[in-house]
Amino acid sequence: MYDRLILSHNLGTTGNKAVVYDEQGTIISSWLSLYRVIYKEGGKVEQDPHDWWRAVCESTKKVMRGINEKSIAVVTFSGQMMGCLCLDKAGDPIGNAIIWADMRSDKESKQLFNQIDEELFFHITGHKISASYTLSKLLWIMRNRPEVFAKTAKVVQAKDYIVFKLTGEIVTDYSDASGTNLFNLTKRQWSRTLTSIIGINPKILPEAIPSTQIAGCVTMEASVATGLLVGTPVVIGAGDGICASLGGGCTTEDDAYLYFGSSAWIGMVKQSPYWEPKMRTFNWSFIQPDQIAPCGTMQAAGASLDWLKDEIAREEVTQAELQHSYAQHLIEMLVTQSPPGANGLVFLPYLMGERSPYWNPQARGAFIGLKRNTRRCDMFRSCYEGVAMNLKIIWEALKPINKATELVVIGGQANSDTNKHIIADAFNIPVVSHNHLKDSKNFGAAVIGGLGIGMYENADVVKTLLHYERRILPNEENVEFYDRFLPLYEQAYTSLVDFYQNLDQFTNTKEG
Amino acid sequence: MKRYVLAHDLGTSGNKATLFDERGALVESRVTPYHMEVFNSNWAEQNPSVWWNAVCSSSKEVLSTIDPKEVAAVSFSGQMMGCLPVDREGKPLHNALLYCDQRSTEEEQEFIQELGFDQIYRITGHRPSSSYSLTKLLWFKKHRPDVYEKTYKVLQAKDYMNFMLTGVFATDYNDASGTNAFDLDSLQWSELILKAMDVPVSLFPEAYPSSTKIGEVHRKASEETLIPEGTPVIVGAGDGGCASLGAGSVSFGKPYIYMGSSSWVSIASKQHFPDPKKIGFTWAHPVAGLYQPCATMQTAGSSLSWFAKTHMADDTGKTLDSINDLAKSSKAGANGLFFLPYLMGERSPWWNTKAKGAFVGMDLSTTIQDHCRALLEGVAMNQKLNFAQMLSEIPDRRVMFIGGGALNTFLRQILSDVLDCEIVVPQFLTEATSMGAALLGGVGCGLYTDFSMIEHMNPVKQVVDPNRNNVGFYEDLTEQFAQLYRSLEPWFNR
Repeated sequence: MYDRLILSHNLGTTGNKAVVYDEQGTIISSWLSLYRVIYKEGGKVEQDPHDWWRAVCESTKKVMRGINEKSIAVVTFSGQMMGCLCLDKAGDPIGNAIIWADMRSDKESKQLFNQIDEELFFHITGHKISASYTLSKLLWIMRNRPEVFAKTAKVVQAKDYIVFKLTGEIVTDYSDASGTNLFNLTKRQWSRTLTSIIGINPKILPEAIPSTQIAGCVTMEASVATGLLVGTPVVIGAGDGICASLGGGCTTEDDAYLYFGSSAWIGMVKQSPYWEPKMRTFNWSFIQPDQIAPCGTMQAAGASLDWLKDEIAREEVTQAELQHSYAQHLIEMLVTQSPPGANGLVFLPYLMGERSPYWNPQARGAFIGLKRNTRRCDMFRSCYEGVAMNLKIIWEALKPINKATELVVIGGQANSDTNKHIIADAFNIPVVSHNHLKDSKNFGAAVIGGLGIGMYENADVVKTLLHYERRILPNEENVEFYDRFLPLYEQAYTSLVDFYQNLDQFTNTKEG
Repeated sequence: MKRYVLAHDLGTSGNKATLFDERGALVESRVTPYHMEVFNSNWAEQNPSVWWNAVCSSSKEVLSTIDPKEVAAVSFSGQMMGCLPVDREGKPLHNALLYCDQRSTEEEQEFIQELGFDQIYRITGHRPSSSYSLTKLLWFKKHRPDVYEKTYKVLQAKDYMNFMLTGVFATDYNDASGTNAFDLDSLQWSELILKAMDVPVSLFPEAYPSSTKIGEVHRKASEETLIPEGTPVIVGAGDGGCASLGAGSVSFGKPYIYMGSSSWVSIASKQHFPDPKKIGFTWAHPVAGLYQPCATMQTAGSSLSWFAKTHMADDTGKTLDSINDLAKSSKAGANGLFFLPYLMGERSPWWNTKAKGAFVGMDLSTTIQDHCRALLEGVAMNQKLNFAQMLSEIPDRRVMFIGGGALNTFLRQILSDVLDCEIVVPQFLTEATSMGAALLGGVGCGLYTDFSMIEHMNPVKQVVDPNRNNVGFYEDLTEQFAQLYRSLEPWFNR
């Protein structure tokens, strides 16, 4: 029989993953329930919050099969960040949630530049002004859906809505609050300056509490829906970027990690924010009230490699099906046949525009430097290297505060030795993975849950729970090569900035 | 009865002998292949005796199918821009340097310093370049004085064949205009250029209109080729000029596109073509009194075969059809994806050897179908940039499309939409140079009444009309395309 288990949910973009862990961090069971992403023209990306709730209920029931509900000591959450979900007085959603990937509010975000100094804004929130965040999405609703805004009693993040459904309490945590562009990072409260500039009542923003705090207990109604025991404590948890940090074993000043999934980010934990001079990186609140997590996120990392597989590597996908092997293996065999630099070919991985380091939603992907003797393997390698080069810029931006002597790599792409070698060479640092690289967000949330109920004393416990794998060391010759290669990559992007802008206008006129 | 023209197409990979009858029908064709000697990375030569042997054997083969006495004339299309120094007896003093030989880049710089880029372009119709004959001759002068001292004439490939057949040293206006030493306006060797470079004008053979009879086959040549002694020899033209004739560009206007692995666009104009942007260059036309403005891109058809390898994992070229099918299921503008087809640098319109290819504009929704579409559109838009000025000078809106690339039916439509012209496809796509040579031979000896004979030799098979919905869009898209190249130019040139 199990005792003192943790039920950890990760409300992602494509689905909700429920994982039950024991006290040692061992996975007892897990279940993924998928839901829809609703794409609409004009860069709109939405989800139905009812889908989230159904997925949480379903995955809870599935993951609890064979487990006595009494042994669940705590329920906790990792959640997608930077969204905008309006709830009415009763706590019911008013329409769909606008999620992080939604770029409809580009105009609203640009208008904010006229209302507040960009650097001042950066120093209040820890972030740049961008359509990626809750603030400009809310402004879009205020301007374009006044009837929705008039009914809005609270604006919450994904996991906050689910925690409300479980407990009846509407709260958020510091980390998710720090991803709204409305939160004063160092004071840990909603920014009066910003709420008054845009003219909203601060009361529509939920109370922000530490990530490890118990938000409430499972209600009777939620018990019926999920099968959880009434009264089971629910710890609010954190945004997925922060959960990944714990999952990456990153808890002290001496740590650094790379989350390499569909998107990718480099994160660290510090005592104070990092005011990167060019504002290429940003800062989250971490789980301890006195800690900050400086971070730089790129949009399409694994997503670029998946795109390569789906569109360009169709032959390898077919071959893999015939051979009952994995397309990724065939692709990466080709990648290793091409030398560093892919014979002069540069791939820009801006298939979703870009956040760090360029913060340019108009940016697009590109292969530049094609020649008669460019081979298929060069094309493939350039994709892997392009992602690594964009991450290298973020890595260099964070260098002044970096004290790590090795880099933990987690996320789905951390399975790839090819990726880890290229990252080790590009960053010039030993790279290591561990046994929770695919469930890092759930695992991080589980540790937060355990901290919340006193199961664990402090966050450093993750280092004893994780089992690290062998280190991949940088190759000196390649390290030098990628240092020389980086300017070539950066110039490829900068030479296209004006073109991207023209193309965006051109496309808008043709579609408009 | 004299009823055949024996036309030779003397290329860089072989000689093709063809027989055309009095009605312009192709009745026989034989190819004798040979090789190019490439060394020192960009030196390229051929031994002229290899040419002669190929002409002899292929002549014998085609003549064995008819009565050789029925041959009315012999004529040539030949590879251009070469340099073959021969002595007073017409004996080669060195292998011929071919058009792609790039050893004379230093001489190119000296040539430009001496006369100025613009002046050379204005006089010869061409950019000064080591691709042409003159700097190759200057290379001999500097590096092989032993050869240069003995040089009596400098010949093009077909001119040497004509000499072997007749004993006469001669060339035609069209081939002469590919030497960087010929004055296009006066149709004379440029004394100004040759004096400045200290080369005697007498080194260059007399130049004639391309349909001129320059002599007759002599006995020795007759024995080696089986062409009857006394058969008239028409001087012929360079292969670029002959291709124009084969594409029906035999009178004012008459635009056409040739597309093989490379591609060029061309018209027939009444005067030496003024091109302030120097996008293209101008030849003397094989039809006397006309000029042939031209602009050429490096990788057109070869972009498609390259794409099949890199993007479709196909080394056999079998997927060329599926490229079309995939491209059709995308839409005009390829969902924002652009292709710059500069896989080997580019000549027209940018003249930048450092230019590279690029796909730009992907997002997560960009498909392989969009890539196929962008590929075809990139080639077409580059040719639009090359063609726009020429098309604006003539009334014609029907563009003949020839070469292996014209087999691509979807590309015909895209070219039509991008150029806002009808695209006309003739019966024979890859016989244009031989037909041009035969036309010169037939007109030159009187077997054919005039150059309009080409309409019977190569009749129109298909006319593709532009899709009006796409024309305006592509006009704007082409501006974006040009803007994309300009944006990346500093990166290419870094």
